[in-house]
Amino acid sequence: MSQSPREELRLQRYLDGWEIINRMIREDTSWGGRERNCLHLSSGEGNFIDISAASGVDYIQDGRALCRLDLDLDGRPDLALRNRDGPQLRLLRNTWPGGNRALWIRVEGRNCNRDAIGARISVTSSGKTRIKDIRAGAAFLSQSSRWACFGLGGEKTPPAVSVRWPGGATTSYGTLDPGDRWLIIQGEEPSRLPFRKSEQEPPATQVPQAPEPVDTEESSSIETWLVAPVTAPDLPWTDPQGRQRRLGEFRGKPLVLHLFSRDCAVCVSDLGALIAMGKELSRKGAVNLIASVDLGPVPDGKRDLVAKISGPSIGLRFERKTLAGWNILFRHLFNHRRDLVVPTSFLIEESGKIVKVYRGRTDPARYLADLGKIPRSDNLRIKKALPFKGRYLYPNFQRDLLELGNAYSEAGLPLQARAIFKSTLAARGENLDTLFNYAISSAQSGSPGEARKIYLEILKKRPGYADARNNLGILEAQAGRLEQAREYFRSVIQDNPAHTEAALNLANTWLQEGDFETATAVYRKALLHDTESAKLRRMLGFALFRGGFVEESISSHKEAIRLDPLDLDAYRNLAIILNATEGYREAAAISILGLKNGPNHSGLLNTHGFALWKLGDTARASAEFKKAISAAPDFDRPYLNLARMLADTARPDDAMAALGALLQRMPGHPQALEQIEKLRSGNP
Amino acid sequence: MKQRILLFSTTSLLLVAGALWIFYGSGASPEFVPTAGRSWTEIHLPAPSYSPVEKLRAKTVAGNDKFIVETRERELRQPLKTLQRLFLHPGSETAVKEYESITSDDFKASPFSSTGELPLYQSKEIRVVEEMSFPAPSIERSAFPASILASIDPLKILTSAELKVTGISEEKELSKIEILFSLSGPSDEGEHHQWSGEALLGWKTSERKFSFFQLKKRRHVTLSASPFQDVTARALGANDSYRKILQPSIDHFRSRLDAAVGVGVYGHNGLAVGDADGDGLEDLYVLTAAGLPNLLYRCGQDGTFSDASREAGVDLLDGTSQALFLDLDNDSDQDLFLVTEQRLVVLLNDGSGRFLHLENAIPEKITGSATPLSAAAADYDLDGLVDIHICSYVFWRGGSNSAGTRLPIPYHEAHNGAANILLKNLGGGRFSNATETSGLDRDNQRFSFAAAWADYDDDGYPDLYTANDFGSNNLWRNKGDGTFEEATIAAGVEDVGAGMSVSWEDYDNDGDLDLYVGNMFSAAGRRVTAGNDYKAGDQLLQAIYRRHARGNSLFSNAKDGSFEDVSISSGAWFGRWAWGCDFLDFNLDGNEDLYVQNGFLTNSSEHDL
Repeated sequence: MSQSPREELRLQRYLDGWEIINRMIREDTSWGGRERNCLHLSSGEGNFIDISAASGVDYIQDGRALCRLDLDLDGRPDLALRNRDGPQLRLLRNTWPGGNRALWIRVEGRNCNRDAIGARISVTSSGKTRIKDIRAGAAFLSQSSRWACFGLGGEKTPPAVSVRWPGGATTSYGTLDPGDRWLIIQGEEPSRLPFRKSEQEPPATQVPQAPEPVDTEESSSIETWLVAPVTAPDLPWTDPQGRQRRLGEFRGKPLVLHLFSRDCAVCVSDLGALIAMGKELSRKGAVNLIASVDLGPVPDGKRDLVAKISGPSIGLRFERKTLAGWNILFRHLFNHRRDLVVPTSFLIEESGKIVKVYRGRTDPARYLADLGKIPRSDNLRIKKALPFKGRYLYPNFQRDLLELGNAYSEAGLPLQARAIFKSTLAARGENLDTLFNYAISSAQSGSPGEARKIYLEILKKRPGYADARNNLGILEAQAGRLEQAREYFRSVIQDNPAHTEAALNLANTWLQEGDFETATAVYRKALLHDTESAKLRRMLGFALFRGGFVEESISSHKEAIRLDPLDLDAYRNLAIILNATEGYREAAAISILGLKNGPNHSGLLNTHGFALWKLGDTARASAEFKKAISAAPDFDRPYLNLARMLADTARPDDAMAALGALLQRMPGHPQALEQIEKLRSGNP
Repeated sequence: MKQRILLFSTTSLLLVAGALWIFYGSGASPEFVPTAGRSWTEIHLPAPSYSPVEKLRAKTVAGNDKFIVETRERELRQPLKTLQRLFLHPGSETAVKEYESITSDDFKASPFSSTGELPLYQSKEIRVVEEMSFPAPSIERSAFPASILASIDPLKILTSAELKVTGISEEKELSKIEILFSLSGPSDEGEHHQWSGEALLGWKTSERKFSFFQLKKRRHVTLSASPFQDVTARALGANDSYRKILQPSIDHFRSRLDAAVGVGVYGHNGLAVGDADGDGLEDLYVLTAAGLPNLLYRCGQDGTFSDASREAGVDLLDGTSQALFLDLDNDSDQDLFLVTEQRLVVLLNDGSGRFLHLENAIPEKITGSATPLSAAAADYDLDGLVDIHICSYVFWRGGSNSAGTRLPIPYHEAHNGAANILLKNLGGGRFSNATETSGLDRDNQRFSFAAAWADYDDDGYPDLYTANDFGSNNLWRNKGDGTFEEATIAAGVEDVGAGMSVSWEDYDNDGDLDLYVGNMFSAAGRRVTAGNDYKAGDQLLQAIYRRHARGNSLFSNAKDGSFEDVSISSGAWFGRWAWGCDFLDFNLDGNEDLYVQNGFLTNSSEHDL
């Protein structure tokens, strides 16, 4: 919230902040949860006294609506509460003893609206007049009873009542006795209605007085028919023979896909039955796929369960990306966003669309039975998908395909994303945001030309689409056309000086050419509009350092860290600069601070190791370099630093081994070869 | 929803030669944690920290941003739980031992009692005492539990103890923690006791232990009776629909139904009381999320309710946020006006308690990003037909959309939301859009949650107050000629904050209508915004943000068109993260009491944003 821009200009950080909050509350994170309801007693002297805890009605549910009414018609006002979580409804019967009476009045219009909404009832006793307006809809999503209730305290004499009718005159009704309820019809004499006698009370049955919220823990299996079938991701598996298999090859046949793991006892014990089911499914023209979510080779001492799966069932092994893709799909099938569980099975119709999901241990007979029940019309799908009867006036079932596509894209599955956006465009017609997403995923999946075309098309339709211009700039820059790229970035910034990403991109084009001075100027200007951007501060620090302004660079990095204590790259850059300027002690301290937030950050482990080496603690330095290597084996610096340190401390053989390890990872690494040469010549 | 925009990265971005790409989760195989009692195993996939958005996840953990007070709050969470256990069980050896581990050896506490008291309220069933003068911390660590025990006499144990941090100030080697506390429990005589108030705790930052406890304020409430009894099961327990649909949480359905059905996370589904079948008894219409039927419970002569949703024709599966029972066509029965996610709907009562959908009753089709949420009715033009005002909100739909973002901007005063609508009743249950002709189209791009009508200036014409999220509210004065003028500032009821609820009532019994507004109260928001570095350099903005976390507001009608803000002096500000709030004179003493529904989202994790 603190990141909200003051004007209506986009600020990516603010949008991202909302985005992550909204993702997390759809998972299992609470937000303003476990708050207790309040009951405040009016002292009669203008004060409210919190008696919530003593009253026992300080319920912890997420409360929404509340309505006043007299449930038992005993003259004491009751309450109905509507909650988000269970129990979603509570009826609270007023059990307050005391002898206080109340005057209950309902008015009905004749020369005004029938409900007499807006009528003002005045009640006078002991020379004091109180009022109530008849209302319909107040508080939050609530409509209370239309009966007005005036508490009379210890007042013994009946009060005088008058009603000001909407748009009309005020009628006085004299005194009304609170022994009964009063119905006042406009133009008529008030009539009495009795309170309910205690013998008319509902029988106290065996059911518990207070409802117990039912256990919402997912303790049994859950079967969900989809109301909007969704295309399964086209991602490869490997079969026991090592061949790549895809869903596409089974098109035209219904499939049942089971996910299992060797580490799930239920899965393992049910595997035999699942394999056996393959024959029956195949008799019905369906295919039984049984896929293991265990990644990597089978560990020693464990059986290769996939190898056991034989025809007509097909055994499959997941790859990391395929599993990521199915997990994303699974998360988006439900509004409660959770990761995949095993066992989970999917029923997939001939067209490749998933129609049903089974979570937990499921009787294999269900799959066979469901095969013949796949609904083929919207009406049938609705019937299957909904747990309770009812009717729709305006049915609307739209899966948020754009969100699903974005999730694929974020997870590094641009082809999946692209397929989703493409089908969305085909099904729901052209929409600039969908087109924009389609362009991004096209660029990410190796079709920059296609992406460029789409961005230009978007700009033709809406020239003000800043993000399309920004991304066009990126495509130009990636193609080496820096001047054209700058044109795009500048035009974005001109329209919206707070478009920090465009500024970062513009500056990057100057960095690319080694013009640190211009880059510095771009950052400084952007910081005028987005004062709290840690990224801008860090990049400014970088440009300043490369431009030779060490002190300023250091303070800019420190500012970046203050603004975003989780910006690990800022710690790393700062530590590198401090190491380069022989401030080893401070470099070590900064590295440690950063490592607190990211203990496996290879860059920080490396800078820490470097500082320790220079401070003479080679043992700990060596340990840090090794940690850096195991955290990111493709990062060359720690190998090289370790080798140099070992060479320095007269351990050429160990140095050789470190360089050897690097060369194994990255054959032909020039600096490694160079150092080996030096070691061999005995001149490190 | 649109993708996040891209950054052009160059290899020279990093000071280290060669680009450094971090692949999250590489090499690690999924971890399996079998859970007893479940028929499945969760796969723990590598944390999805591959995107810039996902990286922000870590920042939602208190303290991982630039707000140092939140780091402290996180550090204090466990010690405060330990302290809470001490208050719950001051006689328990374990609790005392644990308490000793979180307090320094030289810990001093003020006695958990006062030296003087002032009776605040006294009736036959309620006694409230304001305790006065609290001595400075003087008693030793070992004597404090006994002091608590002595103070809560005649109770043997407490049944609830709540501590809430509302402020943290940092001094050298010492944090001062402001807390609100509430302790309660029954006595053997059946009285209910409650001690609530404020205290200041010292926290030695080097030792990470409490160094002192200073009582600041305390009230002792004694109730000799319970105001309410939960009779839901007795009244509704015979209905299948109640047990299966209303007893579980909305989350139960959120995790079981296809997301495309549309059961959301917010649970903004309301409740209406009205006589659906004209038998003189008031029935309940419970609105539900999309995919679940709305439920009409008819009240029987014996006070139990039975499900009549289907036979009455109101078992609608359309996600419905609010319903109003109204005689829309003045034919002496109660019709229904519904706010559903797709449309505004009129259902006409055929006189026998059956409701028929009146097609095309409302000219407006809901379009764009707006979600109509709530409705309030009044005959604003006094033509004898009741009219309806609709509040519209804009909910998050992922990312941003290209026509400028639909997120509230700026957060503290957002005017980029959706248009509210005034529907003028034409008779026969049909409506026209009177938003423009009535002048309610001004300042009409807000994030409105609730509205309520009332004739606050006593001129015979109903006026309207709307509570908006993300900023100030609006008071619309009815000019009596079918148009409205904005009177918010003149009346002094801007009430900057996150408004969610509006109620009018004559709380001070002086013959005019006063205004109670439900707002967000956030302990975290209070702590963060109290810091002087929050929005540093802009005192006005600082004040606005602090106000945002303040809580509910009570405005007393001054009879001259203006109101006095008595939220703090009256004590009515305390409502936590409030939703529906309303007046109710539960003890019938002639003074309207207040009930506040609150809490936003309770999920399974205790991690609260």
